[in-house]
Amino acid sequence: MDPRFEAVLKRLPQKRYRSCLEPYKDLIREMRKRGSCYREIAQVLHEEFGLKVGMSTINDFVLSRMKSKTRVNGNRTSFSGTDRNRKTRIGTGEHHKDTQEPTRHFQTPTQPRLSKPAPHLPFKYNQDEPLRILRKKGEHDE
Amino acid sequence: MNSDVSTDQSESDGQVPVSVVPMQHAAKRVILTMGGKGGVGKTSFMLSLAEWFTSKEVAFKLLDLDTENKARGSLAHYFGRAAKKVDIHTAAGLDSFIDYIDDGTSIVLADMGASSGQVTYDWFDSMFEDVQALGVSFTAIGIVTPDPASVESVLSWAAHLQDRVHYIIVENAITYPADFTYWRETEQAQVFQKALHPVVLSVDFRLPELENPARQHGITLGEIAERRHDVDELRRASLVLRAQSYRRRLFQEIENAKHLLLP
Repeated sequence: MDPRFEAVLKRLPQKRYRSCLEPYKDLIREMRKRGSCYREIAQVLHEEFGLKVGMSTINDFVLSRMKSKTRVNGNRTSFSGTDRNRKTRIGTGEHHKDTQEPTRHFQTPTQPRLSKPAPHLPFKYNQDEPLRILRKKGEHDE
Repeated sequence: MNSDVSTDQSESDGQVPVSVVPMQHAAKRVILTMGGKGGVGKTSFMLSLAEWFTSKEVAFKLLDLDTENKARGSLAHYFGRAAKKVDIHTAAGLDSFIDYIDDGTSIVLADMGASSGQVTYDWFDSMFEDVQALGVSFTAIGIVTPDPASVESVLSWAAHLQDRVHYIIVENAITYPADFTYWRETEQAQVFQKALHPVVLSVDFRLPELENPARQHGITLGEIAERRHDVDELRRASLVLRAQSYRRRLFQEIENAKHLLLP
């Protein structure tokens, strides 16, 4: 790198963590891998570290890290499967480069998908369509 | 009024309570209005519901999430500080449901604002499963009027909330006579009724000479019926009788949905 750039970078103050959860990211990732829900994570952070956070805060943190860690130095991280495979890992935290677990999810085609199936929606409504009044029996077009 | 505001933890220490474990397996219910269309009578019905709970001696908490409705017509106008104002347009969204229900009250009445849809949908998508695991169930109250926009608003909310909540639909006769064709006879509304089985309640048209001063002075139907106020124009015998009649029929209607209102 240009020495002038390096000099500038050295002068810049280190950026503070943007999230109070940053120091606990490994713990959160591991708990998510083990299937802990956000409520349980919030409880552990409170009881073990005195950190009071809401479940939605943890949710936001997990989701934001999912997005930011999919590429490292411009390249895909260790899980270099297809986009479809990558999506199956969202929510499990199993996407970090330093994860020592083998990429068995990608090597074994019979591995069940981790993502939830599309939910069944009992009610569908298209708000762009106007309400259609049903004709009563005996009513006909003119 | 049984609404208890003395244990408002989030207000007292500015922290989000996380002592959620004792809530597990407890039966709790959050009753929220389906926001969207404004001026359909959401707050009025919540007032009636609050009076019904009071008559049943069931403790509840009132949350006023309609931050744009600051003055007359808001829950706070009728209940003062007993109705907690909550701004849901933050990162925490509707987490206040959890905070308020965690302090021993089994019922939260939440009056949503007219522009609360997206916040509510996002919150349900990210938090519902965890909150449900705590034993909290939800009842959404939709208000329909002769205006088709009110029906569209309810259907739009239902399309997002799906079967994660129970539904009570209130046919609010804001005109006389009231024509609910768009609610009762449209294809989309009937599909909704078939799929999600709402309990439908009817609310009578109220005389303007009773309704308008009541809104103006922030006086509930019960206070008029029992003459617990000092507004002369609402002390006429005919209006008192009217208020008693409205309240009696309203409570009868609400009784039909009590299985979706009590924990």
